[in-house]
Amino acid sequence: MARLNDMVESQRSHIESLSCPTFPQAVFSAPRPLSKCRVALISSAGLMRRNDENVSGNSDDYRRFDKTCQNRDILINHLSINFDRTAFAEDANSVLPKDILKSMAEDDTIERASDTHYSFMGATAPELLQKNAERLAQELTDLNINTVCLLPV
Amino acid sequence: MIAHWIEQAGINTVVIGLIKPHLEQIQPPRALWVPFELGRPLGPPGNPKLQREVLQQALSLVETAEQPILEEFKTEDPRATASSKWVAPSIETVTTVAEESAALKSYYQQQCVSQSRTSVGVAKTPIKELADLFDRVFQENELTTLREEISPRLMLRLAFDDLKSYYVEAALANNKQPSSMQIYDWMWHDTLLGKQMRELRHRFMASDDEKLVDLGTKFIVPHRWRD
Repeated sequence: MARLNDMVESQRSHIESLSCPTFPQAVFSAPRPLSKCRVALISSAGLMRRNDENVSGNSDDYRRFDKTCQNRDILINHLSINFDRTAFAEDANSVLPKDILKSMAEDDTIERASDTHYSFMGATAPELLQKNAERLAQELTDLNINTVCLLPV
Repeated sequence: MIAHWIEQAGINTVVIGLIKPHLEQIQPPRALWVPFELGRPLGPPGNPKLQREVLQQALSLVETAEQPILEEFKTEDPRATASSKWVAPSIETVTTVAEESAALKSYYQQQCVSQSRTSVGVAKTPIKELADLFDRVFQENELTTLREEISPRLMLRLAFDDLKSYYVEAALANNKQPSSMQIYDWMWHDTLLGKQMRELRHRFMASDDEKLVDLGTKFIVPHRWRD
């Protein structure tokens, strides 16, 4: 379904028109054993906690979902209407798999699942996110997180 | 892109991506392309075994890749196929979205109880009030807000989102595991909400108000169900 050929023409051409910056000087960190990974999740689904303020359509900031946050407290507040929301309606792990990650920590597949996971508004122009992405990287370092799984929608 | 900025801090990153050409262009340090529809990077809802396979294959790239890599997840989403067991909610003939959403209430409540959660809530307003708002907009072209801190246009967008989520959850009741296409085909073609949203889109796009044109163009009906 996410194959471009399966999309209607207007959606396919919209996706093909989106700019994708390149990183000629990209960093690549050394491999790390899975059993030593301390992992946080970052979604771009514009997630919000039920009682928090709405996520604005061009927000460059990120939201935190700490261990007090249950799946029933998490909502999608993304600007786009062009992605499936039925999966999230049925199962929050199909977008933010924090229970799946926790199970991987419980059977020692990974060293630890982060207590806190994160979400950006994926509709925001990517270049506007750099400052807060770097701030988040520092926050993750301070929390002794060494691995991140990013989950665009 | 976020992956590049975080990797620069010495943190290993992996992207579970849905649009392969974007992954090929951005070239994040490690990426797993998954053949699922937009909106479900972990694939089928309610399938922790397959969800774990996706997450574990992605995270394994942190261990095995010694240079930038784009790998593919081979298993298709079993929930992408229509369920023969699913039956759309039964609704008597109604004349307003308020009546229709009331008729769906038992389905919605059943789904909420079985899942112990709801994805409805971004408008922070009861569904009955959102349905009444929708009916006023549709019947009288009256744009108002129910929350004084947000504009009528944003109020309406959030109302659309919550009404759609409410209908989706009503369609999910009884655990018959419909595909998203089954749910959305029903919602956009067979419900009053869907039919009136499609009409409202055209009405807004013909408006003299640029913001309404924008709302109608982008934020009411997804590409696939536009006419």
